[in-house]
Amino acid sequence: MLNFGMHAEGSKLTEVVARDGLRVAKLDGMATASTMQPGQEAERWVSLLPQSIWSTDDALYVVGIGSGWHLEKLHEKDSGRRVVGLDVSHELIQFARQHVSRDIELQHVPCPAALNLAGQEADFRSWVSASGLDALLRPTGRTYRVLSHRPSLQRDPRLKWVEEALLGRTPRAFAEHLRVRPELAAQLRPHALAELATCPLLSVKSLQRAWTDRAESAPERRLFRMLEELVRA
Amino acid sequence: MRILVISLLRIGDLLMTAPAIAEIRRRHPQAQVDLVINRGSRTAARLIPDVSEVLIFEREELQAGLCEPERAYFESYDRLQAFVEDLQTRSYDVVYNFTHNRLSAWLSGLVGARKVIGLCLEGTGGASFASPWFRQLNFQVDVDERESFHHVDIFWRAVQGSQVYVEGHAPSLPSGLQETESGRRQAAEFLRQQNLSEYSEAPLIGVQISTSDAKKEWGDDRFIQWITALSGEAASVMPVFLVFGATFEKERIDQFVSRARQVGADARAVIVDLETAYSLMDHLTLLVTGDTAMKHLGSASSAPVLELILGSADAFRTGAWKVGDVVMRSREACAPCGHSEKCHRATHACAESLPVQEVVRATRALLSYFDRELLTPTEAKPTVADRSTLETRAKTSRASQVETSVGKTHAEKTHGETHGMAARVQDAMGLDMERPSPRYRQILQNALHEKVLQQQVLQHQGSQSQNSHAGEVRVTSASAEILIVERLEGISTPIRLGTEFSETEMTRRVERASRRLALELRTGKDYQLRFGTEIRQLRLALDELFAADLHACEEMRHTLPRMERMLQHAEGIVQSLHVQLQALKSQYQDPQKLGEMVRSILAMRRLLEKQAVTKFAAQALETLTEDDRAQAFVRFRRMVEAVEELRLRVGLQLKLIRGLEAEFNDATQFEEKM
Repeated sequence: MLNFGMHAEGSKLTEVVARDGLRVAKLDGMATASTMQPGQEAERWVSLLPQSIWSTDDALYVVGIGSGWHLEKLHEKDSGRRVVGLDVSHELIQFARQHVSRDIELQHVPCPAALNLAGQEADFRSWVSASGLDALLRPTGRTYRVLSHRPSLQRDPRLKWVEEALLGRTPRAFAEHLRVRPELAAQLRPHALAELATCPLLSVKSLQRAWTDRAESAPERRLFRMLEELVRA
Repeated sequence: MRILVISLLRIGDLLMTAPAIAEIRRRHPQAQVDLVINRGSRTAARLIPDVSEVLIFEREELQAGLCEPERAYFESYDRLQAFVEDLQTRSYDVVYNFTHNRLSAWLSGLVGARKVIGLCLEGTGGASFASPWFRQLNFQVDVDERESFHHVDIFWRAVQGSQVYVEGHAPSLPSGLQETESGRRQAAEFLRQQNLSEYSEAPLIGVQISTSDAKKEWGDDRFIQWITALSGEAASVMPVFLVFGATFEKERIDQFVSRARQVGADARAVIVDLETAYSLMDHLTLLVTGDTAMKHLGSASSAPVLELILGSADAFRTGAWKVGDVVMRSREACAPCGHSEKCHRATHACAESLPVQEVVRATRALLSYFDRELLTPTEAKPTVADRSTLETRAKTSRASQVETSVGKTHAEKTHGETHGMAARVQDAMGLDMERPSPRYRQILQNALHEKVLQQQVLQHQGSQSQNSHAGEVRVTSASAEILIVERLEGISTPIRLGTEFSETEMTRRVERASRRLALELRTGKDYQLRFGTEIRQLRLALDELFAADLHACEEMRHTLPRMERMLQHAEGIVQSLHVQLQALKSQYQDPQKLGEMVRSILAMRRLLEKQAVTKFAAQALETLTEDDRAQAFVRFRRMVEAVEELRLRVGLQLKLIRGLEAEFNDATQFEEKM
């Protein structure tokens, strides 16, 4: 029986004031940001982000909310961008909401404690459906970038599932993305998809043998042919 | 009408499409003409005035999305899909794909236009070209350079259609570029800051030392030696060297300029954008460059270009293309190498075999020509009074031209509306639309035949050919080949200086002419082949190639009849194949009959291979093989198409040869009568 929507038993959130005056959350005694200079730490996190994210207006999905300061710094750098913070902890979301900008969306992703984190296909699929992540996966005509808050992922490995789902590069995550792209899914052979399950990470070329015969002239197939040429170049 | 132009390669490739885009605009003055380019080409696109909107294909962003594991799998797919959908909503009538690779071909097919001209891959992967000129582009990927046409002409012809001679002359190629107000202003500011007047006596030599590919570079050390030699005491007037570079090359350019100044040269760094660079072209006496975007800017301007062809650079397909432009290249067997290949030699052999002294000699020859013809009609240098007269004359001339010259295309400029040094150079060169003036060519030819060169060549290891004429030893350059561009048949063709008459060279030129004519005939439904004009132009082209009056060439008298005999033999062979194919029409499904036909073709091919004159016919049949596993209908269709093409080509060559014979015979009879 899957258990959604509840944090792990025994989680307790406390709050400290860092040396620079900013509030830092502690979850089960573990600080979610620097207790000395969380502002500086957040600025450094932003400065280390790939420069390529600033040349587009893609939405930014940040996996791991922590104490929220890195989200705030991200928003300060480009206030016109859509920034979505994702976390499995209700408490952290409530904490961050108190001081981050209202323009920043904070989304809870329920992560059942009872899930087998070694990765069972059925569990992952059910979780994506129930978590509301498929809404983020659904193509809206705009692309997004996934930014991971490493301290949050190190603190709570469940967030790895969120990252995996958004990136869509593992076979099970890729299958979830296909679910919200039925026109593309219809062009692929189910048997070939099963073969893809053996690939640790999917690339554009991984799909080469997965297309059905009738997909040869489909626009989706032709787009992928263009992508294959780009990889080849 | 809505037209989309796709150019997804480099800046130089985009610049080569400019004349074609100008032609599109000329034919459709009211149309919306949009241009799809890579982000790196957007500054060059500002020089093309005939474009309504520039659309950026985010190639690097798409590639990053595909390759970086921290990016979502579908990021690039969604981005590309959005781009394509945007193109589809614009409802284009025609797409011109000037890129000729699979990426652009798939894109062309997805746009959903009524017509695609250029390589297009349909849903099932079947390729279409829509124009025989683009099919030629596809064909010439793997053939000898001398069987190739310049890309700038292929693109232009694909839009223009058939060639129309104007008063017996091939039409000139518009540059398609227009200097921008920003470029003109910044160029003027640069010249002012550098105290460089456009009326100064000192030649301004533009230098481009860097290229996008290291194997195309001649090397900074060689350029320094070249500058040293030109700035030495032997120089009549100290030239000013303008060393061009982009912002990211500033450090290298500054170091180079510093080195040049240490040897006493007057060198200046020119770190400017392409718009400003193009505006500066008009002030240059000469541009010396490798295979770069600057070369294409030079060819599209009035500045004479001396291009150093190294690595994968190709003189015939993508080299400098303006009449009078000069190309120097080594004779290394491995050149040109593959575009994406790494140099496999232990050292940069092609650069080493383009000796500094030979480039110095060619440069001096060009500069002395300009110096002599332009500023000093006599051997004496101009006096102060003379110089001021020249300046006054130039200023007066310029004043009347300034209002009209800005914003004009090169074609309009070549009709006497240019300004600055380049205009005066061009007047002095006496260029007509088709070929360099004989004097200009002679100056360059003499540069190869100096005794100093002779001595150095004799010491040089390797081969040289020697011909004795009237006791004088005449040698050609052992290391470098010098070619000069002419457009006598309306196609930019580099011809090798010092080409001696031979049946092989004759065959090549006639073949080339027949290939062009075949394309013309296939392109223009209403095209009337004016053989008289074509023969005359071919005759002029041959005179230019061999730099000789062919009437006086005894060998010539025997060559044409011999070529005619061999072509007649080929005509017979091709005709017999045609008859056999006609008989096979209803029986090609029979594998045995089809196999017999293939064997017959192979046998005929072996016959045709034996003679240089008919080798082209054998090559045209190379695609027909015994192990072809395509369906019978496809194989039969390929045979029919190949043989039909050959019938056309052989027929055209025969007509050309017979026309040349008549031309020479008539002239001979005329001379005899006299």
